[in-house]
Amino acid sequence: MVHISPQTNQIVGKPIPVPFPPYAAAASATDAWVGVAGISADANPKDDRIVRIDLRTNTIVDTIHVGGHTIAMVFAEGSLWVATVRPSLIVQVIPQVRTR
Amino acid sequence: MLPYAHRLTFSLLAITTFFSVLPACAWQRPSVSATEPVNTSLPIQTSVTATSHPLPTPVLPVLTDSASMHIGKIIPISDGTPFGLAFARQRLWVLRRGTSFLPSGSILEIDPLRGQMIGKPIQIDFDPWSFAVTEDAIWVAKNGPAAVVHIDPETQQVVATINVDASLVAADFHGVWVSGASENAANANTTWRVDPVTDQLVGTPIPVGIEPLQMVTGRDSVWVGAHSGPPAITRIDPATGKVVGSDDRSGLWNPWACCWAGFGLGCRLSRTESGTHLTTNQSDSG
Repeated sequence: MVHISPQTNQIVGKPIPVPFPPYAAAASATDAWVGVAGISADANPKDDRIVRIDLRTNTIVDTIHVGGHTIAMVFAEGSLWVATVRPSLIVQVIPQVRTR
Repeated sequence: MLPYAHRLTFSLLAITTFFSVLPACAWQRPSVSATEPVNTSLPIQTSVTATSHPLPTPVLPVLTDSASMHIGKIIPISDGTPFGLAFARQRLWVLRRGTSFLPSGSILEIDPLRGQMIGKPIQIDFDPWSFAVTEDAIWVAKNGPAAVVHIDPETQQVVATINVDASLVAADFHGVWVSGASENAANANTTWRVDPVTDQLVGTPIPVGIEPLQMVTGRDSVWVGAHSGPPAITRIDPATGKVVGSDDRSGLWNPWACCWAGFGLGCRLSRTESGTHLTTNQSDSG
């Protein structure tokens, strides 16, 4: 996962290693989330994690299971909405608010 | 053509899903945090024959909170795969692709507070690949040649079909942006702007990297990630339609997922190299 600054068009810091083949991503003003790719050949079929990345430190700070492989995510009005396959679900994840 | 490759992949995925989910449900326990299942099936049958069997009630997985994240509503999606999400009009919108081999899809409108679907699914008579929702329109791009459909969310009717070979669609204040990868199309590996009022293509195609795979809007820019590059990421000024930034390290990385937040663009890369960067063609006042 990389964070690109719109001011400089440069990657901020180093690419953030994610401990699985990632696919979808979403972000708030303070955090980013990325989930396990459901279509990647090297993905663990039982791995249903998404990780929370603190954008102040560009590090993974938490992990949660969402029941399936992530295919899409959107963050809106304080909630992260995750679409998964295997099984087909929409899961609402409500992160604790962290001030930037 | 990645979308077509994905089409095969997801067809296989659909098969796998169909045969894997049902037995998996047998051991899954109901979750206390689950919401009522969203009825996402097609119009309800009005008569039941003697040979009919009730559909199994979806059994939801038990999901637990983490240290800093709480599991809210869990909404099962039947009759297809949720393939895209959007939040607009105070609603959560779900792009659903069919699990059968029929080239159809639908769009679900979900009340995020109740976790329940509003009205009936908006049916689409093709296999959708991506979508965008604004305050007054839904835009759906087709998987394969060649159409982007404009739908009125109030009437759920198709307002216009734009014949452009595009599988990606995004929207912002300046209009609707479409991008495609079909190698035989005249507009392959380009991005077009669509006027949402006239439903016409505007200007000239904007060159982007080979096999566009992601497109997001933000910071008054359109960002297009290409699977095969070069460039891997192209930044377009929506006001002028000009490319104002692109990466110069094509082949070293490719973006599989991009998202926008108030601070910048985040991309998941399949290959990474420290120091990879974008170059600008003009100054950025942001």
